[in-house]
Amino acid sequence: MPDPAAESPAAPEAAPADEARSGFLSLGAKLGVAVVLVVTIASALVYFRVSQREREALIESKRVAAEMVADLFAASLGAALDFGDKEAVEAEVGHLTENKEVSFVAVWQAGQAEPLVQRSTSEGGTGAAPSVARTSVSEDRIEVARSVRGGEGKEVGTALVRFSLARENAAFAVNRTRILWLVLGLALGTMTLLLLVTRISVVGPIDALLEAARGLERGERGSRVRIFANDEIGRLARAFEAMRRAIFDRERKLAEANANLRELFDHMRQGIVVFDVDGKITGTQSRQAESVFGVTGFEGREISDLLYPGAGSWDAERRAFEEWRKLAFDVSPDGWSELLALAPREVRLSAPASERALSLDFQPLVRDGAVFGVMLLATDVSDEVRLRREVQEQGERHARQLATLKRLVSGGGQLFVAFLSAARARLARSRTLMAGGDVRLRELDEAFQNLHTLKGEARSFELSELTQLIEGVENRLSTLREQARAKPDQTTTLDDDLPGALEAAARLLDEAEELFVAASPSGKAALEQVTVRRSDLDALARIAERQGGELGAVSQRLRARAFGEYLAPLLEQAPSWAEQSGKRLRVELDGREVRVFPGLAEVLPGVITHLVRNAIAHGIEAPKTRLENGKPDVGTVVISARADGDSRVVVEVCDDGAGIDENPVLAALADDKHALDLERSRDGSFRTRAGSPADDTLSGRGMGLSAVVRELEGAGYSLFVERRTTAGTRFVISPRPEHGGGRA
Amino acid sequence: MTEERGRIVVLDDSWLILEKIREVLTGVGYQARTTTSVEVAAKLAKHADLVIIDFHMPDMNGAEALGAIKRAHTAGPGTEFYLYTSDPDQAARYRAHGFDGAFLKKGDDVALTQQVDAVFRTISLKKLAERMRRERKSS
Repeated sequence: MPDPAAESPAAPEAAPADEARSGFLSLGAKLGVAVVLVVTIASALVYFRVSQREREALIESKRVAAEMVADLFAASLGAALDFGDKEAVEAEVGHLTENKEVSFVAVWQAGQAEPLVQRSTSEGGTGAAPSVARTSVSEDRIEVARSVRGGEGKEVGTALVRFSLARENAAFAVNRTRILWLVLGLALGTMTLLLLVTRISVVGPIDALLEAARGLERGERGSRVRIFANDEIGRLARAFEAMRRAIFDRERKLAEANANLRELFDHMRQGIVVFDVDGKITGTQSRQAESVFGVTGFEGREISDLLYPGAGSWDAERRAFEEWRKLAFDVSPDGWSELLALAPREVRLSAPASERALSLDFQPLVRDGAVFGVMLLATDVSDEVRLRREVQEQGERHARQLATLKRLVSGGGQLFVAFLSAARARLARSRTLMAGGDVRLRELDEAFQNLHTLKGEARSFELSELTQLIEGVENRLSTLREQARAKPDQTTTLDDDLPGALEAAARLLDEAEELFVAASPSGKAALEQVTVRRSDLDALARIAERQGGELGAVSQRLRARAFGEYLAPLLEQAPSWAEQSGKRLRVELDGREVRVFPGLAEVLPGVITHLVRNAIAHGIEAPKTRLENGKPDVGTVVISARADGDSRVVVEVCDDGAGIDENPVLAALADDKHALDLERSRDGSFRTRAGSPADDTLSGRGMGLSAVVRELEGAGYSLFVERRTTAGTRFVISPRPEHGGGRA
Repeated sequence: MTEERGRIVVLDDSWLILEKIREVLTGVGYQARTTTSVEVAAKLAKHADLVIIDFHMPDMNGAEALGAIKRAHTAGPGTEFYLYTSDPDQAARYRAHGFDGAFLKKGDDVALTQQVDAVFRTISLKKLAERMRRERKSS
């Protein structure tokens, strides 16, 4: 499982980079520019409008005054023009022109084109007499034309008066400057106010939100937003705060889930790491990872270095993994099954103290239909691998033992002993011949012949390792012989490793002998045995024993056989008897080489067979019961023999079963004694038990225990049982004191 | 007998080692041919997927042996050549010697099997990559 934090590691640093790329312009700046523009435009409009109104007001006042003056002037001219009194007209004009505001005055008599009186205080002419009364305003003057009427209301002339606007224009200029400053002051004030409001109400809170968002991005839990405004920004801040709490709540739950998952992984006892397309480890998912891989600090480490520490690019396993890793991110998730078949299944990590074997399992991490990571689950299987090797070695050993037994059956033990002896002699001779390092053809030939024979003998006894080894040496010697034949008068230098090969052959012979002794029922005694016809031996024994004395004793020893020989079939059969009863049994034999004389030897196989069957039927518990009782699930019967004097033997049959109390055959015989003499009890329940229902198909076949006792008695032996209530049962077969244990 | 997993040729001066290698590799399903002769190795390389060459040999070293085998032009283009040595320094110089890689831990049967398995996995992975390339090209 990928680490959620690992999926977007560069996110917190991404925001400033994005701002730089997109030409970031702050909202405050935008609002500032907008405010300046709007206020400037508004101020300009206000300025022009107010200025215009100011001038209009000035002009209008002047116009009204001018019209009043012109009307009065026209009225004062009525009589003078009606009588054609030019002087009076001039006097009126003179009065009027005393007004400094009047720049021009002209008076026409009705029907006259030229003015009767005209006076100007500045530039400008008269032109034609105006036809109608009117008032016209221009930039620098106001011109008022009026009809002059006589006594009967008859139009007698026309008067034209021009008034200068210089004074108004001068006043307007002053006022306009004042208006400009006033508007500018208002604009600046407005802008300042607007910018302050924008800063405090919009930009500041948004900056605070932005900083909080970045803090959230960085995972800082304390990045709260303290905005109390009751507007849209305030709502946004409260929504952000709610979102922040929800995110941290989800993160907390995710962290808990991750912790649970990690705990689960930890319980799986697996080292789990995730690596990316570059082969870098992006995260670990279990505490076991450190102990499994034997390193600390995984982040950023190469996965190849972790799995193949110290291996260079030459290393075949590392190269195979690198090839696999490249394809792992190239192949679609559907094609992963094919790829998994080519993934390494196991690696061996060399440690200073020991070597660790890890079983590997790879899982793809898929996002948007593509593999973005691989999860490696590594399990320490060192113990399993070790056990597997031991089992394999044991199996091989067993196979070799079986082969040895086969050889013994096919070739006879004494033949094998003879081979061992001859093979050692041949090896010794070959080593002597090649001891100098430089040899002649004759010596090479003899060594070759010796080893050739040894190889053939080894092959006949199926000693494959020895055969192969000698064959290799033989082939080399063959080549050397050819070289020596080419130069018969010179010596030939042997290879340095030839003596080593011969030493290895000697070790293989020792190993073969050890296996032979271990597999032989007679143990080491097998090396001393000779084969004679039994009928000849019996005939000789009968003659010798009639003679008595030492000759008789020697003849008995000749007829005696190793204890193990009698019980070899039992060793193989007993486990299968137990399996038929749903139990598991191992039989151990001790004292295989103890020689058993003919009397006991005749009854011993039957007696031991019965005791072992009895132990399986009534003593050894089922595997489940044994495990519940704290015992190994496989029961054990130990059969041991030891010599008791020259011709007597004590045999014990012990099992680690439930003991006498659980054995229905023996329970009835139990008393307070620690040892029960079955001979003394056999007239009681013992005899009847032999045929009871409890005497089932396993222990009931062959002779019963009473018959066992009788058989042993006939051979001069007694049977004792030692009661061990919960630790099994021990039968002891020992010579009867009055008899001495021998029966010829 | 398991299915044959690949064809291997091993060149070493010690027949004892060769016998052991042959036994180990055939035991896990490979067809292993062993020889102490460079000439024979060159002939056997014609049908081999992997050629393993010992470095320290009395008459010539592994690099010289590899040169002789390559000069014989018997090996196919896909044949992998690996150095077999216990010397990490020689292993590190595998490319200078002309090898595709190197096997270490000489004498460790389990390690040998794992390393040979890895070479054949690499061969299979290269074939898979080539197949994927062809499929993408055709689509």
